[in-house]
Parts: sequence; C-alpha cells; structure tokens
Amino acid sequence: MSATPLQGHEAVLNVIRTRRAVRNFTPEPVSADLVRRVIDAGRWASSASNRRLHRFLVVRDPVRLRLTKSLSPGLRANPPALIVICTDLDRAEREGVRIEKDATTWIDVGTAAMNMMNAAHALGLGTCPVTAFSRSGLRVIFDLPPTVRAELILMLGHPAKATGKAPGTIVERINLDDVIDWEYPGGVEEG
Amino acid sequence: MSNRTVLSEEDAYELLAYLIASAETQLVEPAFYGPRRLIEAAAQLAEGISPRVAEADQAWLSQFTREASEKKGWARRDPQGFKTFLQESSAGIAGELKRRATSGGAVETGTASETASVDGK
Repeated sequence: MSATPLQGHEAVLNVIRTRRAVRNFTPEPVSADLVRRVIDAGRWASSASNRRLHRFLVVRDPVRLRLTKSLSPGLRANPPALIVICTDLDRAEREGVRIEKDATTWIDVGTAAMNMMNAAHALGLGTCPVTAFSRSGLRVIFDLPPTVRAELILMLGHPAKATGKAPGTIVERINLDDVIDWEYPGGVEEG
Repeated sequence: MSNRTVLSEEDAYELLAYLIASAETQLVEPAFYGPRRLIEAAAQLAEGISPRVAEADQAWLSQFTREASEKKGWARRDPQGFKTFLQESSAGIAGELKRRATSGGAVETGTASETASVDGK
C-alpha cells in the first residue's frame, strides 16, 4: 500500500529544504498582511493536547525594535519586524500544565516557529530564530503581564540579496542514512 | 592622554543593556558564547567610539570591528582560529594603549597588524 502525495507536495518539500536562517534584511517594512499569513502558519502548527498556549507579539515600531535588540544578545541584525512567541501562563494553568516541568510547551514553541519560518520562506521573506534575549528585560519593554512569558523571537524581513548565503541554496550537511536507525540503534533498512 | 568623551549617552546605554542581558543569557547559553558575547560587545564599543576618536585611532578600531564581525562565529566553528583572533586582538589593543601612552595621545597612524609588529608580536 502506497501513500498518495498531496497536490503540490514537491513545492512544500522544496520550501523545507531550501529555508535558511537570514540575518541580512532590507529596510523594507513587512506588511501586516504578510505578518498575519506567517503567524497563521504558526497557528496551524501541532500543539500538545491541542492546548494552544501561545500568543504572538508583533514588533515593527522602530523604537521597540531597537530596545529589543539592546536586550537580545542573539539578535545581531536589523530586521524590520519581530514576532515574539509567548506562552499564556494563565491558559497553561487552566489546562493543568506543569509549566516548568512539561517540555511539550517548549516543543510547541518549536513547531509554531518552524511552521512560521517555512511559511515566511514560501512567501519570499527571511527569518531567524533568537533565544538569547533577556526575558525579564522584554517584560519591561512590552509591559508583559506576569501571566505572559516570552519564549522565542523570530526575526522577519525581506532578505537582502547581496549579502550572506543566498536563501534557497540546498546544502546537504548531514547524510540522511547517518541519522536513521531502522527498528533498533544501528539498524539498517530492509526492503 | 585624552579625556574627551567618545561615546554617546545612547550608545553607552545600549552597550550597558547588551552586557547585562548577555550576563543573563550566558547562564543558559553554551559556554563558547561567553567570549563571543564579550567580543561582540567590544566591537559594539569600538564601532560606537570610532566616529569621535582622533583620525589616527580609527584604523585599528575599524579593522577590529570588521574582524570581530567576520570571526565571532569562529568561537564555535573554529575554536583555535577564534583563540588566535582573541590573542591578536589583545596584542593589538595593547599596542594601541602603548602607542597612546607613549605619544601623549593619538598621534600615530597604522593598522592593527602594523601596530602589533611594532610591539614585537
């Protein structure tokens, strides 16, 4: 029995394969429509127990961008937009999540971010995730209530064409067979 | 030695924020990020003061800023190369300090590599 690929599957796989972290952006603003489409992709990401604990803080104001950069050692670029993925701790509590022990909340940050990065790439935008930032600092900058915790910053913008590696370049860094174990550690594919 | 102010208040605060935030993030970041964050801060400082220092001082600052931007990623990819860069940068800034101390301020010109060679590195 074989699977029936969805229409356009090669295009989807190509987006996944060709996405790269982008740290060089043009100053061109990112429209609200594009921001919404990127976040919508995050909204569709898998979520443990379908809990949907995350909120998405959009930052495009130049002053807030600069302040965020000052408090984010991992943000060494000048993107025209940021999306801060936050966890709604109130909602997490209502869902019975043990927030400091349950790794699924972090995994869900990753699934949302990955969907958003691939969507942005498909839309012609560049992204780069940032986890090195001061959570306590961002809380002050954005007046985040104690019930909202910033988890990950996504740089978002139009890639600068002339700098860095060209987005879309396929680089085979890891051999597929080197990372697969069939049935048991070290197991090889049979049939 | 010159006592002129070479860093704007705004640049100083941004650097201060960067250093404090780096100290916080370094609690969880891999250890190799420690020297990288420090060198990024140093480059930020060099870039911030460069427009206001004497012309003779700008060559080394520009070269250091350029090299730091290029080589900061070596902390992970090429630890030995990164170590060499840090050692050369230390020697370079030492040469700058020595030149400034012995000349009564910034009067000589020269690139970082020239300065280093003068100091017998």
